[in-house]
Amino acid sequence: MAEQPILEVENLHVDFALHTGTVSAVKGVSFSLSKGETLALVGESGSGKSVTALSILQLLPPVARYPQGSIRYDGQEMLGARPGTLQTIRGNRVAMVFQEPMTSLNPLQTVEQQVAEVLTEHRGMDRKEARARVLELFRLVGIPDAERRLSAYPHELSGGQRQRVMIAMALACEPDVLIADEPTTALDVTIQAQIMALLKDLKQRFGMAMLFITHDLGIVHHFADRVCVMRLGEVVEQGSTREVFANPQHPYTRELLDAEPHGHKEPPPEDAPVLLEARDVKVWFPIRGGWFSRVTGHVKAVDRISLTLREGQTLGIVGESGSGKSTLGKAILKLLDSDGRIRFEGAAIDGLSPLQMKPLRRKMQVVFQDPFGSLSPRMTIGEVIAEGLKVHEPLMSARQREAAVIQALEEVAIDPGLRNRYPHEFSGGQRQRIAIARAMVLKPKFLLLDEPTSALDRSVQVKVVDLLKALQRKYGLTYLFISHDLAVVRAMADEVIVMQHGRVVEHGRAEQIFHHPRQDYTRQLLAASFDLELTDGARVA
Amino acid sequence: MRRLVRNRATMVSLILLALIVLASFLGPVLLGTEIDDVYWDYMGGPPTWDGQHWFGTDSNGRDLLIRTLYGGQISLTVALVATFVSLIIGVTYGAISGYVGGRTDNLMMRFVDILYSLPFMFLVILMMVVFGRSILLIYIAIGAVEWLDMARIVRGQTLALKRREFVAAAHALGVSDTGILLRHIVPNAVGPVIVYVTLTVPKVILLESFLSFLGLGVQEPMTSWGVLISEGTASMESAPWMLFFPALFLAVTLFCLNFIGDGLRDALDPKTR
Repeated sequence: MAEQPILEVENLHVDFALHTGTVSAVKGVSFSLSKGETLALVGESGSGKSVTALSILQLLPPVARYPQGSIRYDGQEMLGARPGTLQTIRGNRVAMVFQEPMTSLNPLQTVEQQVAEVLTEHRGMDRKEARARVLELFRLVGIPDAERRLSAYPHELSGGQRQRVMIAMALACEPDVLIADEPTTALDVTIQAQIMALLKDLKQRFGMAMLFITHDLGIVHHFADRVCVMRLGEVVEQGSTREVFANPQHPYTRELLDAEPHGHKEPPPEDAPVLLEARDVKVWFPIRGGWFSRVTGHVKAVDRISLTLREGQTLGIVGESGSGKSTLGKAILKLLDSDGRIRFEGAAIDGLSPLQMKPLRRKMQVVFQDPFGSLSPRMTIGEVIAEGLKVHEPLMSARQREAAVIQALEEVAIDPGLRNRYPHEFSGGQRQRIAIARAMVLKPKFLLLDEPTSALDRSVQVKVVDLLKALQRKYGLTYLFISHDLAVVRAMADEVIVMQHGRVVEHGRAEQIFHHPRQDYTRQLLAASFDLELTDGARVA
Repeated sequence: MRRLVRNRATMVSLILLALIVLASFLGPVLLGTEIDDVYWDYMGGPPTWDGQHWFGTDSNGRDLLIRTLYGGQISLTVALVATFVSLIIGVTYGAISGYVGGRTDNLMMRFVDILYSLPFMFLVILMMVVFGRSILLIYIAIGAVEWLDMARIVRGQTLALKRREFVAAAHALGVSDTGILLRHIVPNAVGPVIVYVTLTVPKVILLESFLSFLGLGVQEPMTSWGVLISEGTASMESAPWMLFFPALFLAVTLFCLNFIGDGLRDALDPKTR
């Protein structure tokens, strides 16, 4: 692969001129990409990897400035190139695939129109030629029943299919360089594996160069020839994948490589009292249609699920999106109406009114996935944490409440001096800690953790997982841990339920599920999430 | 509050608005003239600089300065009362409708639709017939119509907000529905509400002038900015000052309200710190 590089980035600086001052997002990044090579830009959120990728095609908003550096495609300078020149390169010679397949497709156009647009724009094809080519592309990227899918709108396709359409669009003009910005992050693990296989296959077939942006080291290891590790706008380490993984030089690279949730949880003693018991929980959403909106059917989001949680236990619920795992969690906390019997501390709670539920609420708390959405943006974090106390201990004086808030913040390792700040001033990981503090300040017995680590970077994930485990040990908490991320579940849970289409596929002790899965679906899930890491041997699990 | 003071445009607007309000309510007392004093020797005269008629007189020989100030009293109170009424009813109604959802929401919104479909003029004339003509009635009539838009806006915001995770989190904490509405939903809907309020004020002032123009609003000799402007428009070519001064007062007031609205929105939003 010692050909002349097709894409060269040299000492690239990118600044954003905001009204509050200038922010440097990228500070002197250099790399080059040869034909047929795959280079991975790896880093956590805020490392400047996406900014670098977007600046190659000059797709950043006008507030971006390029004080220094150069980007050359095939010897041609891209920085400051005329719009007309850029137009002939974008989508034609250099194509891009974005992270979010729903938002990067226009919801009002059929997928055929959108892919054909590239062809009519760059190749001057007429409609008939374009149609034939689109069909060919759809078959190439493995869209089933391609002919019928031509006239589909984006919302009629699944996430994986939409991403395939995006890839078809990118490949339409057989580009020399494909830039893929986290193309699989928004997808389920099994789909992720399929898309990665597709990209790998297509790359070999067309001899494209690929610039691959990701935070997932598992993918990089499996997939890239070379790696650039980025941090805070700089490249801290660069080299062949084999070398970087076998012998990381920079401490940050080592930290990233170690950032795999590790350890496992010992189950509580067999005779531990049962804290929560659910029998035949059902959540069916009616589908209304026809005249007078009669109920014509049901979406069975959760279909007759039973589970038992002993004190001190962590029950992991895994499944892909749409499997009903979050709905189950909400039903158990009675945040959603459901059928079935639920008992908490030996007393039935399924028939309780909201008022009767209130005293129980403090014993069963919840931490949600999205650290951006789960804190009210107009309350200071001190107010957020104190709110539960105001509800459950109205007699507490302001000073006592303050002391409790401070203690809760210390518990999750956030400086209590920051309690008068607003949520947007904190990073994702910090916000998740604040959400945990909000739950912990009430001294609950049971915590529902609904994907608490999914929106976080790996290295932050590890810390949150460690925090949750420490809190569990200290207070003897019981967790219901919902996640699609098997690596995290393996580190957290002593018992696991695998869900699909609202039903339980497999239920058992964690070791048994992870080492001796009985069902095909479980095996598939495990293969998709761990095989990427394990096939080449070098990964530590 | 400190952040509001730091916003220069907002502070200037606040001071200007305060001056206009003071002038409207204290000016007539200090001037020592009456709204219906007629200057027989200076009918339809242009502004003079000798201190007699700063703003000139109208075609009936009445001093325009004093009329503009009195007009300000009516226009400003209408704006304040009607907007306040629409704000209170609209926010409460919209937030409850959106939050409760389902059949209640449907019923409440259909009720709003019915009110929308009643012709506004018909409503006003009906009220005049039943209760007789009074300025208070105008306040009520305008307020009763303006809250409909506000309710719809707040309902839309609420529908989006109630699905956010912080609302679910508050629910899991055991916070009551009232608490969720007051602490989590309404404060987060405040941005669009303030923008809409700053749009409502001019609408209300113009609506009042429209009613007065039809003879349903304030009665002579009392007047309002809307009435003065519509009179001024009629004689725009021969006596431009009759349009200019009331229009200037109205325009300055509206500008001030817009800047204050922007300043408030920014001051209340923790993200713009």
